[in-house]
Amino acid sequence: MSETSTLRWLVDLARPQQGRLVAAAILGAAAAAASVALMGTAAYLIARASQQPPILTLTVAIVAVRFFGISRAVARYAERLVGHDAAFRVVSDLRVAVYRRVVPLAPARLDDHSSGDVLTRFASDVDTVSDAYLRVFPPFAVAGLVGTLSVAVLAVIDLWVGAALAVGLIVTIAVVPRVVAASTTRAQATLASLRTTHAEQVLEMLEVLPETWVAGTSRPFLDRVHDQRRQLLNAEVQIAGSAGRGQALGTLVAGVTVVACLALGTRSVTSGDVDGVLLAVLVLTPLATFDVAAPLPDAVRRWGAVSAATGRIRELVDREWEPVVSGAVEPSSAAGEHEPAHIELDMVSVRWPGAAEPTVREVSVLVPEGGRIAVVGPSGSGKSTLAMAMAGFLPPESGSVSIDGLDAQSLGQAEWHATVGLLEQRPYLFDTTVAENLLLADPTATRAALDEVLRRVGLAPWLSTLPEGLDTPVGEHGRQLSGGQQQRLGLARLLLSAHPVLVLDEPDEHLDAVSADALMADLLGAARGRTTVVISHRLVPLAGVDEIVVLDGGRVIESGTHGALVARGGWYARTWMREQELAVIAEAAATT
Amino acid sequence: MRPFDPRLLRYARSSRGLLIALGLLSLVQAGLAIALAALLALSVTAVFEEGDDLAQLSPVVVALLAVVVLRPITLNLQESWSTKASARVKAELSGHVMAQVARLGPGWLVSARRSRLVVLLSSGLDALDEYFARYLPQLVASIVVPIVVIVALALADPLSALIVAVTLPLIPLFMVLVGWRTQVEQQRQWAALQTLGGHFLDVLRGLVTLKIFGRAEGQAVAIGEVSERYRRRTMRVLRISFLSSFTLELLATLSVAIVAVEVGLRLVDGGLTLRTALFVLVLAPEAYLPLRQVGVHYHASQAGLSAADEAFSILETPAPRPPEDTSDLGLTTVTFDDVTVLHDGRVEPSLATTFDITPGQTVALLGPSGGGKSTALDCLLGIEVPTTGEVRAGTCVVPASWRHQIAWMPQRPGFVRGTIADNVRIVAPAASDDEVELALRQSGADFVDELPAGIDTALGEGGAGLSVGQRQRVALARVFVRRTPMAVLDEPTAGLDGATERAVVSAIRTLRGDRTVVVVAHRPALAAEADQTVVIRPPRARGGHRE
Repeated sequence: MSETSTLRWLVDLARPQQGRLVAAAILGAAAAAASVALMGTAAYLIARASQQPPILTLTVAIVAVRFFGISRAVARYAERLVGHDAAFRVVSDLRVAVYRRVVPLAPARLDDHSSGDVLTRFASDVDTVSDAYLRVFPPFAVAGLVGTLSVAVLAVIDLWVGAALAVGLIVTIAVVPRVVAASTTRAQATLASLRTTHAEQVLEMLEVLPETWVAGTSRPFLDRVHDQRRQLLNAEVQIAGSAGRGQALGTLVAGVTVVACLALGTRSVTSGDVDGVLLAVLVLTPLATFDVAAPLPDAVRRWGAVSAATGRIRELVDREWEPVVSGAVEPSSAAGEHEPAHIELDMVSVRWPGAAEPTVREVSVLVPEGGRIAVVGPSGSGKSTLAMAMAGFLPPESGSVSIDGLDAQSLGQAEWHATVGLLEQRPYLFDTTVAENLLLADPTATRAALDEVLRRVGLAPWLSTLPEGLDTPVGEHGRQLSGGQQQRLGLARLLLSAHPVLVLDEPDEHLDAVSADALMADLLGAARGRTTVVISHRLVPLAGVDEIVVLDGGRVIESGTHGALVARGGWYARTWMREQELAVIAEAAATT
Repeated sequence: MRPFDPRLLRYARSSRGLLIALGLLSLVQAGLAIALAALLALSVTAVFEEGDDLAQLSPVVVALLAVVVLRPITLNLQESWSTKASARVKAELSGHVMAQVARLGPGWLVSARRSRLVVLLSSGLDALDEYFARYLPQLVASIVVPIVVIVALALADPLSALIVAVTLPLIPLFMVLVGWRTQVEQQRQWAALQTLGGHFLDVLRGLVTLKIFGRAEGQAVAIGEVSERYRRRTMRVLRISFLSSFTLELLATLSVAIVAVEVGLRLVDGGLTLRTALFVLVLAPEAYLPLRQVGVHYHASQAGLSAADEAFSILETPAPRPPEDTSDLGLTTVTFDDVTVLHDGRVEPSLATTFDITPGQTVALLGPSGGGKSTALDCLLGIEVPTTGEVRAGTCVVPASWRHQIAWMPQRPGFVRGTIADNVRIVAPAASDDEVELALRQSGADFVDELPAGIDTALGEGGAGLSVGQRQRVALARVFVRRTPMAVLDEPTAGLDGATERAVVSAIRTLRGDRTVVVVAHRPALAAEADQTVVIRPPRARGGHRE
C-alpha cells in the first residue's frame, strides 16, 4: 500500500473529528508562533530601547513580549488536551469498525493468520494509529503554519531575508526528514530481523529451560542467545548515530540560515533599505523559528510504525472476506424459550480454511429431539472439528447440516447460533464478575436464577466460599478459577441460555479420571431435557447416552448403544476395558 | 519514578563512562551556545550602532559559521555515544538476567513470569534506547548547561543572571508537585483504566462466546461506550498531568519575557549596552532548553527505566542455594516426609504427602487433578522447596546435585527448531548419533526410521511436523539418552490414543529394567506397570474428593 493511500485513509478515518483536529493544529501553531513572536518582539524592544526613546513608545512592545511569554504555555496546554481528546475519539470509532469486520470472521478465518496472537496485534495496532494524530501530523502542520507566518513577516521587512528563511525551512521540514528516513530504513530492517531471531531464541531457551536446568545443559542455549545478542549489539553500534543525523542536519541548516539572514540583513542595513533597529529582529526571529522543526525527526520515526499498523488494519477492514456462514449475525427473533429441535448431519465433510485435507469426512449423525449422543475417538480424530461444524462455526465442504429438517446454512449464522449452543473446550470467560459472565446468556436472569444454575453445575459449594459471591471477578481469561471451575461456569452460562441444542466439546479435557467423570455426570444431568451432543475422551460416564459415535481419522468407524459397541469388540470395547482396569487399580490404591 | 536509577551503574558498567562523556559534551555545547550568543550580539551591534558593512563583519561571520558547524557535530556525537552505550547496557543486562534465570530455575519461571520475561528480553529492554539516546543526555545537560549559562550571564549582567537563577529551580519544584498530584490521580484511576484499556482485546478474544449467545453485534455499541468512558477518564488524568509541562513552558517563556523587558528598560536608562542586552536575550532561553527537553522525553524514558527496574528486581531475587551432597540416587531411598507446599497467595496447600521411593522400584503417583502430583515431582527435582516437611535421602535434604541424576519428562516437554536429533540432545549435548538413535528406538519412536531424513528431519516451532504422540515419544527419548539412576515422568501418556499409549507404556517397561522410575499416571495401562502406587489427594479433600 502506498504512502499516499495510507495517508488518505488516515485522513478519511479522522473526518468526523476534523473540527477538533484542526483546532488542535491551530492551537499548536499559536503556541509555536508565540515563542517565535516572543523572540522577535523582544529583539525589537531591545534594539529600540538602546536608542533611548521616551519610555511610552516602548509600551506596545513590552505588552507584546509579556503576552507572548504567557500565551505560549496556555496555547500548548490547550492543544495537547484538544489533540488527545480528538485522537481518542478517532480510535474509539476505529475500534468499533474493526470489531464489526472481525465478527463474521471468528473463529475460522482468524485462525487463518498463522503467526502469533492476531487479536493482540489488532488491539495494539489500533492504539498505534492514534500516534498519527498526536505525534506525526501535528508537528508537520505546526511547522508548516508557523514557518509560513515567520517567512511572511520577515519578507515584509526584507524580502531577501524572508527568502533565505523560506529556503532553510523547506530544507529542514521537507528534505531532511526524507533523507534521514531513506538512510535509516535499511539499517532498521537489518536490526528488525536480528531482533526477531534473538526473540525467537530467547523463547526457545526459556521453552527448554525446565528440562535443561534439571539436566544441567542450559549452557549451550544461553550461549546461543548471547551470541545473537552480540550480533545485535554490533549492528546497533554500527548504526548508532544515524538516528540523530536528522536532528544534527536540521541544526546545521538552521545555523547556516541564521548566518545567511545576518549577512543579508547587514547588506540591507548598509544600503539603507532596512532600518538598523530591525536587524536584531531579522536575525533572532529565524533563530527561534527553527525550533518548530525539532519534533520532526521523531515524527518521521513514528510514521514507520503508524503506517505498518495502518496497513495491517486496512488489510482486515478493507479486504473482501467470504463469511464463514452467510446471513445476518444477529438472530431475527428475540431470544426466547426455543422449542426442542433435532439436528441431522448428512455426509458432512469439513475442511479448515487453508488446510490441505478435510478433517471430518462424510459423517452422518442424527440427534433426535431431546436425544443424547456422544462422540468419542482417539486424539486427532476430528471430534472438535465436528463440534465446530455442528455449532455453525465451520461450513460443511460437502454434505449438509439440517436443523428441524431445514438446511442450517439457509437459516443464516444468527439463527444457527441461536439454535445450537457450543461449550468450547476452554470456555472463554470475560474479565468481569461471575454474574456478568452469566448474564451474557440471559440479561434478564434474576440473582436467584444465577444461584440455581450454579448449583446445577456443582459450583454452589465454591460460590459459598466467595466473600463477594456472584460479584467476584473471574480475572483476565478467568485466571482466578481452576480449569474445572471454568468449565462448570461455562456450562452454567450455556444452560442459562435458551439454546435447544447443546454441543459440549470435551468438557473433561485436562482433568483426571475421577474429576472428569464427576464433571461429565453433572453436565449430562444438568443438560437433561435438551438435545445434547457431548464430545468426550473418556467412556465411563457415557453409559447413559442414547447413542455413541466413534470417530477415527475423521470418519465414523462404529456407532451404537454402549451395550452394542461393547459386544462388537472394536475400538470402543477395547478402550472401555482399559478404563475399567484403571478404575480397579485406582480403587485398590485408594484403599491401601 | 526516579530520573536515574543508580543500579544502572552497578549492573551495567557500560553506563559509567557515558555519564562522564555526556557531562563533558554538555560543557562544550554550553560553550558553543555562549559563543553563538556573543557573536550574534557582537555582529548586530557592530552593524546597527557602528555602521559596519558585510566586509568588516566577515571575521565574525566566519566565526559564527564555525560555531554553527560545530554544534550539530556535538549533537551527533552525543546521539552516537548514547546509542552505543545503550546497546552495550542492553546486552549486559540481558546477559545478567539470563544467567540469573538459569540460576533461579523453573520453580521461579512460572508461566506469568515467563511471558513477562520474554517481553523484557526481546523488546522490553529496547525501551532503554529512548532513555539513553534522548533522555539521559538532556538530563546531564540540564545540570551542566544551566550552571555554565548562569555563570556567563552573571559575568555580562548579574541582574539577568539572578532572574534566571531564581526562576530555574522553580521548574523542577513545580514539576515535582504536579507530578505528585498526577500520580495520586493516576493511582485513583489505575484499575479502571486497566480494565477499560483491556476491554477491546477481551471482547475480541471472546468473540466466539459472544456469537454463541447472540451478543456479538451488541458488543459493537459496548466497545464504543467503553472507549468513550476510557477517553473521559484518561482525559481527566491528562488534564492534570499536562499541567507539569504547562508550568515548565510557562516558567521558561515567561522568564525570558521578564528578562527581555527588564533588560529593555535598563537600556532606556543607559545602564546597559546593546551588545550585553542582545547577548542576554539570546543566551537566556538556552538555560531552560535542556529542562524542557527532559520534560519532552520524560514519559518515553520511563518505559526504559521500568524495563531496567524489572531486570534489576530479577537480578536481586535471591537464588536458592541447595546443600551439596554426593549421594547416589541409584542406592539411596528418597523419603517424602510430611511434605506440604503452600503456593503464594493460596490458602490451601497444593500438596501434602508422605511416601518413600526405594531404589530400583517403579512408583506410580495417582490421584485427582489439582491434587499435587506434579508439585510432588517438582519437590523431588528441587524445582519447588517444601513449605513444611522435607524430601531427603538418609539425612540429606534435596541437594542441587540430585537433579542431574534424574531424567525428567515434564507434562509439557519443550521443543526447539532443529532436527529430531537436536531435540533429543537438548538434555545430552554430547550424545552421538548412535546413542540418539538407540534412545529413540527405546522410547518407541520407530516412526523416525521411516522418515527420509531420519533423525536429521527438521522440526518447526514447538515440534511442528510431528503429531502429539510422536512428540511425546521424542521427549521420552530424552529420558533414555541420559543414563541416570532415576527417571521421573509426568503423565507421559496424556492425550494419546490407544496405539501410541501402548508404545509409550512398553517403552516405560524397558526403562524400569535398570532404573528407579517415578511416574504420574492417569491412565490404567501406566499404573499397572508400578511396583508401588501412591495416591496423592488435594490436602483439603482428604478422605473423599467430591463435596
